[in-house]
Amino acid sequence: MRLYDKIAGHLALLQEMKKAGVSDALLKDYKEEELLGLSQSVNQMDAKEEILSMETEAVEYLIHDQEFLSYLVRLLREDICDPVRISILLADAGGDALSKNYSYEEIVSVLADEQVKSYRAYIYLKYFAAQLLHEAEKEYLMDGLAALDQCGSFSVDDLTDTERKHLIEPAVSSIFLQERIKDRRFWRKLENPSYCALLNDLSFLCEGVSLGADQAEELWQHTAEIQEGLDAVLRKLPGYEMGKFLALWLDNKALVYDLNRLKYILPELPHETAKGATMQEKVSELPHETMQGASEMQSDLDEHSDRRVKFTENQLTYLNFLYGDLLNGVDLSYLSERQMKLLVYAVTHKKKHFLTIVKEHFEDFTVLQRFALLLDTDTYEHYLNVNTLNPQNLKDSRHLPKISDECKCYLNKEPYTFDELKLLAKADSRYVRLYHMLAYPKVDDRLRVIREVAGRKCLPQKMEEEQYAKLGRMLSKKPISKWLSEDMGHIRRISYQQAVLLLLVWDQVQRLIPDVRTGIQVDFLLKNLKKIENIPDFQTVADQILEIDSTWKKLNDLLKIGEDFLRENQEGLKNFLYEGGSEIFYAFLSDVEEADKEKARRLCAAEIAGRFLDVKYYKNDLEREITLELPEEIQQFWRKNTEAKKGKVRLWEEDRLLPVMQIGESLGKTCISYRNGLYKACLLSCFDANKKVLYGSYNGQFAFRAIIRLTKGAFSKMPVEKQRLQFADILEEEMTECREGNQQEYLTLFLERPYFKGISEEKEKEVVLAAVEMLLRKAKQLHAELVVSNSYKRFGLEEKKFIRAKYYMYISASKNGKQYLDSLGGMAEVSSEGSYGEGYFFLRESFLNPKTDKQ
Amino acid sequence: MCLDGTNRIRDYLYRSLKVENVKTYQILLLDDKWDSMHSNWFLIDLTDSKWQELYSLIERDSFDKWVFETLKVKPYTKNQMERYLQVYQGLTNEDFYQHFWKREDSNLKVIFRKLADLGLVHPLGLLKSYLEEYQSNADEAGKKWIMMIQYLEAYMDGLETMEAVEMAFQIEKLFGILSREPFPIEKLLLDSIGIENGYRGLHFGSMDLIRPFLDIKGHQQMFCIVEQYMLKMHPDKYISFLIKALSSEDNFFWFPKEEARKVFLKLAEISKNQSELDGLRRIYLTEEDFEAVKAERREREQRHLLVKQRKKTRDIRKDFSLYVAKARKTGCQFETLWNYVQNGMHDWKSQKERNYIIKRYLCSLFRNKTQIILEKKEIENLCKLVQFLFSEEELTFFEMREILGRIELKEEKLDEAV
Repeated sequence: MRLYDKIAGHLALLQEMKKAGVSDALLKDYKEEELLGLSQSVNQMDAKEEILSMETEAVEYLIHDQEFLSYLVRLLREDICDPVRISILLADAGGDALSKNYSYEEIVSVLADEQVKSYRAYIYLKYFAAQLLHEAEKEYLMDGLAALDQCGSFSVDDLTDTERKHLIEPAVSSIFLQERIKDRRFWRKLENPSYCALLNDLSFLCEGVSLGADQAEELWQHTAEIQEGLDAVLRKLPGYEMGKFLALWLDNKALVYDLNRLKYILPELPHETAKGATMQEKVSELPHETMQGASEMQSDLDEHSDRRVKFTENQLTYLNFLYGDLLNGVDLSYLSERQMKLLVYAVTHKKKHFLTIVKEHFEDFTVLQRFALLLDTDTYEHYLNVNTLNPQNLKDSRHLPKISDECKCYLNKEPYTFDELKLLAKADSRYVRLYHMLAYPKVDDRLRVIREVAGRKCLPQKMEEEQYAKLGRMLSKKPISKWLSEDMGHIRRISYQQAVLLLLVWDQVQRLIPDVRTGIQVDFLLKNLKKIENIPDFQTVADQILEIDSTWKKLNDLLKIGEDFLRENQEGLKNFLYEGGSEIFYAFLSDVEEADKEKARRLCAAEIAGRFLDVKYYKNDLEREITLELPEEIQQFWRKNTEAKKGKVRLWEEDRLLPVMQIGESLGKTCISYRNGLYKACLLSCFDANKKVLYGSYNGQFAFRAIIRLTKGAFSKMPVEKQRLQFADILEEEMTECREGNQQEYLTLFLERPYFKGISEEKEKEVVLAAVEMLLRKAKQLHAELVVSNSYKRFGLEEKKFIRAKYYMYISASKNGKQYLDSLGGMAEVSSEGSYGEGYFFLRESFLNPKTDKQ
Repeated sequence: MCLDGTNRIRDYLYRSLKVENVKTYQILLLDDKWDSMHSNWFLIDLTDSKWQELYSLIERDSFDKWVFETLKVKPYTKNQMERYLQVYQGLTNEDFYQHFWKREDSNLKVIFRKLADLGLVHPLGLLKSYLEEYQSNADEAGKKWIMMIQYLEAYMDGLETMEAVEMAFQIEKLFGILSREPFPIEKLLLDSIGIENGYRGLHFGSMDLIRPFLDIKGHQQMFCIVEQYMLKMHPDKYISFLIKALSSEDNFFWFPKEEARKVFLKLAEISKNQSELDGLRRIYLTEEDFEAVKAERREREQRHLLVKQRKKTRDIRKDFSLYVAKARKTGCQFETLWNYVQNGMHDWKSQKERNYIIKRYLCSLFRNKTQIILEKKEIENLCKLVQFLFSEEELTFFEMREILGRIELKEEKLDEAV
């Protein structure tokens, strides 16, 4: 072809298309001849306006069905419908040639029918137009097609002719079958007329219910039986109960069983209210147009119907009624969802004993909160047989939280007893994990062991899997208390935590244990496990302690105690290290002022030389600290550490270097912890001559400590006295003069704020009263007055004839410079020394008012 | 310091230093990173045996890099090139051509084209092999040819050789112009003939269909491919494309002028925008014909303007009639007319028409009246109106006197007595 002919042809095509209103964008996808043919036809029919009113897809349709152009022109000129409606029909028709397969009249009948939605017009024309459906059927069909759209995997074209007829069934478009019709096999079942009729009836009556697969299958398997059962049961129900009943009946997934049972247990309706009718009769009473009609009718019936049968209230009332009404007489209307779920579980699993308890102690059940242990699904489905509960257990459950997901990972046996769950629900996941490592066959034994460990909070924060297993094995031999009393009984001041740490490495330390004497030595062992692994006994450890204890070298780099001195006092040094001195002081000196290093040097040197107490009570330091002359006899009494024992309580005074250094750690961390206490700079003030620590144990367990101070006080404000003190340097022994006392003041034995650990409030009181008794005796010996911190007000000191009163307590001079006085506002510095702190304290009644004593 | 016109010693070296032996080469290569400043230093002419030693003295990557650079810039003859590649193979124990299968390198694209021009590689043959393999197993072929395809594409870019055009024809025949696989031929073709696809759509300013190595048939084939593409993909630009193709007289070599003229006449017949064809008219019409066309167009434009003006006048008169009808007997007719004249912005012709129509109205209003009694305010407005029309030379002095001579002031008392 010549170039001109080709171009002229193309120009003519473009002109023709433009004249016809056919979009030139179609050139991309369609052949030139086709477009030319369509455009010429359009132009011959002068149908440009009609073409322009069409959507692109409709014009594309016309390319392969040009015959339809005449239909189109006629449809539009006769104003049969909106052009968009025709466009949608043509777009949906795709490859189908409408002009060949349908007459103009057929197409008009569909397009003119307003009941047929535009986007259903082609499907309707193709499959349903010939059936001459009445209005209601068309409405159901449109809804049915909409429901079919949700099926996704198949469409109306995939259905057989018979199946397609079911699209006119009301049930198909209802919520009732919305999930079922997604299953292609279900459509085949609809061909069974009885089944289809049953579903239709149910869809009318079950408002808002979506039929599940299991229920659909049971309805299919037992269609006739269920139909008959429903007829019998519904006859006994008032109209307003019917919808609720059917929803609950379907939800219970035991359709035949429930109907058979209900047939017998449901009483007949009394004559005056009976509308006794089969299901189909009930359905036929309903206006078929909408489901809403059904509900309206039900509400009408509400006003007039008998409310005798209440079992359709909720799932629980339904099941309770069905399974023998074990909760008869209990109002089940206002239970929470979780409470309801538990009772549903109990009813359906025939937990009769539990239900009886709930019924009899219903208030204890209703107070269970959302996250209560008992309401946790895992608990009653897996961990606990609720039938084993007693009324007390139900009561106790109120305060038991559900087991955390973290802990649930470790629960590997089912079921547990209530006592086990009671413990595990509150325990940290570490204890839950350890519990499952215990090998005792009896639950009680396991519980005893874990209660002890959990109660004492013995476990370290982090443990590896094998450590749990190891500890489990050790504690399966005997409980921790037995380990402590039998294998570690000879170790003084060993804590439960240390005992656990020893058990974790028992194989490595067992041979050394017989010679270990203190808790500090235990720490030493645990810290130096690697270094001692080839050492046969603890004596050898003690001999080699200078080599083993690497901290000492670092400590002495700070203290700078001379080699000669250390050589002369090698035994003392070993004892110092043996007792953990290097660890304690190295930690203490980690971030303190330079001046404190010198103080620490003097104290450590004194301890190593075995002369610590000489330094603490150096010459007349005590008198200088409190600026009061004291007879030597009184000073001797003060220095003497007393002990007392009353019942399970044991109390003792402590003034040695290392035990006192640990006061901020021994009962849990406090602000004067030698490691990182906020006021650790005040710690060395405890070594002033007028200060001691009173320690106490309960039943052998370290449980109490408080600082006691020998000072002076007055009932009125006294003038400030100033004097600077420091620790004696035994290397340069010389101290000076003393000072006169003050007749207006009283020598005072002051009991500072208490610290407790691991004992109940009752036991705390027991300890406090024993301590007060002991100190009263000591005060008497000292000819001093016992004054007790206001912190003891909750311990009923009134029993001991103490009353609360204002008192001016002398702030003694400290060789440390800084001291921490709990009862006088915390840290006190040099500037406060020699003054009197005003405060409320507990004083003996007879001290305050001497006449009382006489009386 | 200024050293022979350069600022730094290194700059001086870049300009003056010649690398004459491998030792110097080696030292400079180790030290210097500024490739662009001294590209000639490191070229490796393997046809000269003294440089062959470099293979064992420098790293392989560096060696290849400078071999590629050398082949790119040096104008070797076919024999020299063959010799070079032989030496390369002898030294490296590798066939140089294998680089085209294994690596992507912009210098290699230039070398590929050079080798094709020297007849040492055959892009069309390679393309045929590739297309055969592609049609039997596209995935396998894709993997095998992944590198070589880029060299074939680069070779076709610009359609600068007979072979390149032949390759494009082959691809178009098998896959059509729109297919992106195995080659994006659409872009290649448009870029090569200078059709730019910018943000405003296609632009034909640089379109050039002439390929001196192509015969008439070849040109026509290329044109037909593009013409078909334009029709289908850009029908709105089809006429612009044709105009551009017809506007180059070079194209008469393959598009006979007589045929081209017929196309032009067809375009002239259907085009809505005749002015865009003026360029073609100069080519395809005689000067007389062109002048006649221009005269006819002028006349048509004139007619069009006249019709437009008439319509405008008609509209003004219609509006004025309505305006006056509303103002009549309101007692403020001349105020309304004065406002009509004053208000609005109008082109000169419209304003003239407005003045004219008012003048006509005034003349006709006063023509058969001996006296018109008006209130003082109306007389003021009439005077302003008459003065304006007189100054605009719409009213003659005579007409003005005639109008003003017939007005009489309305007496208030007289009015009250009535």
